[in-house]
Amino acid sequence: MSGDGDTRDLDRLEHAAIAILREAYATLSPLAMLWSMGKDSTALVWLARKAFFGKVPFPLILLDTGLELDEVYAFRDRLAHEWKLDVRAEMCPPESESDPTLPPAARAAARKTEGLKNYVQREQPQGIIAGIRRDEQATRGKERIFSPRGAGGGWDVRHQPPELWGYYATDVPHGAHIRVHPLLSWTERDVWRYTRREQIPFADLYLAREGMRYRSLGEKNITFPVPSDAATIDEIIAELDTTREPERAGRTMDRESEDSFERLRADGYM
Amino acid sequence: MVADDGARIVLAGHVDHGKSTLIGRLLYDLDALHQSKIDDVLAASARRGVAPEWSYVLDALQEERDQAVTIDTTRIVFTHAGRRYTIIDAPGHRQFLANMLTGASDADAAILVVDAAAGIGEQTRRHAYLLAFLGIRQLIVALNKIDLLTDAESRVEELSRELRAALARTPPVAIVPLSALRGDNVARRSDATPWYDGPTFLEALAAIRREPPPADRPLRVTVQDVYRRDGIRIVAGAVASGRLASGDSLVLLPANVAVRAERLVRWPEGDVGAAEAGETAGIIVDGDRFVSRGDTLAGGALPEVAQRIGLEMFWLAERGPVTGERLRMKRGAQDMPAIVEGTPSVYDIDTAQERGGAGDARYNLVRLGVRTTSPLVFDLRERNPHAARTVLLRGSTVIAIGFTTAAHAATSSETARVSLDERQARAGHRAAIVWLTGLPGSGKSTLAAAAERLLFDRGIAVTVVDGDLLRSTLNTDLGFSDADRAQSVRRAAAVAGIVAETGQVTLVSLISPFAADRAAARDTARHPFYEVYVNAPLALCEARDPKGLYRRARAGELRWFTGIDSPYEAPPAPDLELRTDLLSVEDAAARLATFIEDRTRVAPSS
Repeated sequence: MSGDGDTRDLDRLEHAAIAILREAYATLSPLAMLWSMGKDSTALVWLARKAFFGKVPFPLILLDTGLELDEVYAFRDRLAHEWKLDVRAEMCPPESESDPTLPPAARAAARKTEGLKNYVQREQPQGIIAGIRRDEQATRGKERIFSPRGAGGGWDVRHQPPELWGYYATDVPHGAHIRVHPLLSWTERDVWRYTRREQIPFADLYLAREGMRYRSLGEKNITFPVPSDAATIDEIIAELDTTREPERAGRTMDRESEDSFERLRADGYM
Repeated sequence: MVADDGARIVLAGHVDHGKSTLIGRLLYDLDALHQSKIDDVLAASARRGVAPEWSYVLDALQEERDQAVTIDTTRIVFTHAGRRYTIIDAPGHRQFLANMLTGASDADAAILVVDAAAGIGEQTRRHAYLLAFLGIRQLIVALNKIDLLTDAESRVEELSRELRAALARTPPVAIVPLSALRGDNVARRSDATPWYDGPTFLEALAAIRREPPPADRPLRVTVQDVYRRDGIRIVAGAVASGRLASGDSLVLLPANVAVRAERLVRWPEGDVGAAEAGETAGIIVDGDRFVSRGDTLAGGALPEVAQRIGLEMFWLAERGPVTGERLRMKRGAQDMPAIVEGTPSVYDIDTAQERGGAGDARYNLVRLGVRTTSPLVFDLRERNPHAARTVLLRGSTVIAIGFTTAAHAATSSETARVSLDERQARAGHRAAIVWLTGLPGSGKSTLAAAAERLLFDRGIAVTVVDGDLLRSTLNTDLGFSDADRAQSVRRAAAVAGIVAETGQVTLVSLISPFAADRAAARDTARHPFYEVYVNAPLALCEARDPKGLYRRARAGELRWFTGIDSPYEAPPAPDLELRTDLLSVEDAAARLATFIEDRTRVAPSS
């Protein structure tokens, strides 16, 4: 079942993502990519190496709360060295500076929004590439590939520009930026199948140890492993064919209230 | 097992006909929803005091749930019987048509959802038209809400007939009567419709095929960028149509030079043999050709290269195109100014009527011509639709999407000259010649000057060509014989024509006593021409005698003086008559100014 005889669908997704990355690089400057060291943004870094023939021509930003899991930091250092990446850590402000009306875990997650706002204010990038996907979370499902952000980084979900035939919103008002989402049409299963086919490294935390594994990686205070016996990438892909649990089941911030994720995203969260 | 071809299917149709509910229901019936998603839908429904609302699966935004309307498009992927489906939910509300197009633009097939109780809605027709416009050829009709019908069989039969007539452009492959609410004929055949022997909704979906990229059309490679790696320039190309193989002979456009694709490369593999429509390619070309973003590499039958282009566009902006307006056009990676030429026409999708002028362009089809500032490379839609896709923008805002449909040759002088259309677009009103005729002393010059002031103060570009001034400058060689008067009118008309060509409203104040001369002036004018009869009785004009000319004529010092010893032929049907014996100068000037304003205004831009 998990044998990957036919991966033409992955070829299509790969070509589309490469075209998006090249379009972003040609039209938005300066440009930066968010790298959380999770499976999605690591696959995205790999795609950037493909798009630009081995050399990633923009910095990779880690929105650092100091609370990533230790194994994640170790994974970052290893890959940054092996792939010769320009990785920059943006230290996020403490939780006390996040919106106090958000539920607790969402408030913790909002630290990354504040860190990103600081980066944008200081570096004035026109484009920020992020590895979000539609199938992760329903409000991400409403996203555009090129998603314009206001001067404060906010997402105006009610007035998104038309986006079709590869014609993207590439004009950036002063102080604003465009979020670029090359993996928007990928699914969790696509990312794992692609990771397997391309032999892209990933953090060991995704593999089950003693009946538990991380399905999604986030800060250690608000992310938890879920029950699983998938100890290899083949077993992860097989598990995805049958599971009834969503990918972000271990992320407490998603379900504190019906609107918490939408509120986070409207304010500029990934 | 069906090949995993990943068909993309868009749900279209009128608002409230149940698109989001249908897909939510299907996913629920196929057991394709995570338990937490089901819990979320049930909780959000309970919170709003409604029965389980399956549209919430896709309508994730708070405002969408609160107002029970899909605002923006989304897509959801599910797998059934080993096959991957991407379902694209598109809003049905007229206000969100741009979002509907965003969703439908790359779909292989469409489901048109029609409320069987309500019948064909306004957006049903518009969406059906748009799906065909976008080039979608596989269409399924979902006749929803059959649970609300009393005599379902005959109603479905009647609606099916109506729909097949309305959807003649894209005949549906199936019309499925169903109830998303009850799940009738969605994933399972319903007992409620024993008279229906067609496919269930799910069976109809299974018959849809992914449309292959246009690899069988002539080769078009859009140059996205050029990178330098290890001293070698690599052209980053996106293959829009056709097939590219290493060694191919190509033409670089618009430069129109022959190049060879020496190598096709990928990282980390190195050399690859070929790339086809829908794929990206790293191309190393021979020689030292300068290639840059926006160029096209073409093979096979070559595309058009032109600066005057015919377009067929679905218009999204409130304001239609204005002749002479400077827009922005994107085609492939080309991005350049495009000036509207000639008069656009609107095809009203509701009434199926073509009409001139660009009023009510929004959400209708607009045919227009544009002139670009440098040569554009494009294909005609009928030959290669993928390479004819284009968008128009005002500033940064996409205002229309559609196709290039015609290429017109332009002479170099034609493109170099600034046209009247462009001048009028800048002025914001039309040019015109307003010809004031009347007896000496009837008040022509006074009225012209007063109206000029009023119009100028209202922002209209306006100039007076005064007969007396011409007499003392251009016409010093002319007397008052009939022949000389004809010549005087001819010259005044020529001067007025030059002034009007600058885009101005041109007021001519000239006795011009002979109807034939005035008619000749009107006939030769290349601008809108209005004859204004400034009328006052001879006795009053003679009493006014502002320059003492009547006195001198009566004294025999002037010969052939109009009204005394030369006739004045009053206009039998002037465009405007102003009785200066009855009106004050202010009132007459105000009437004249309003008359002019009404006739030079361009279609209201809202």
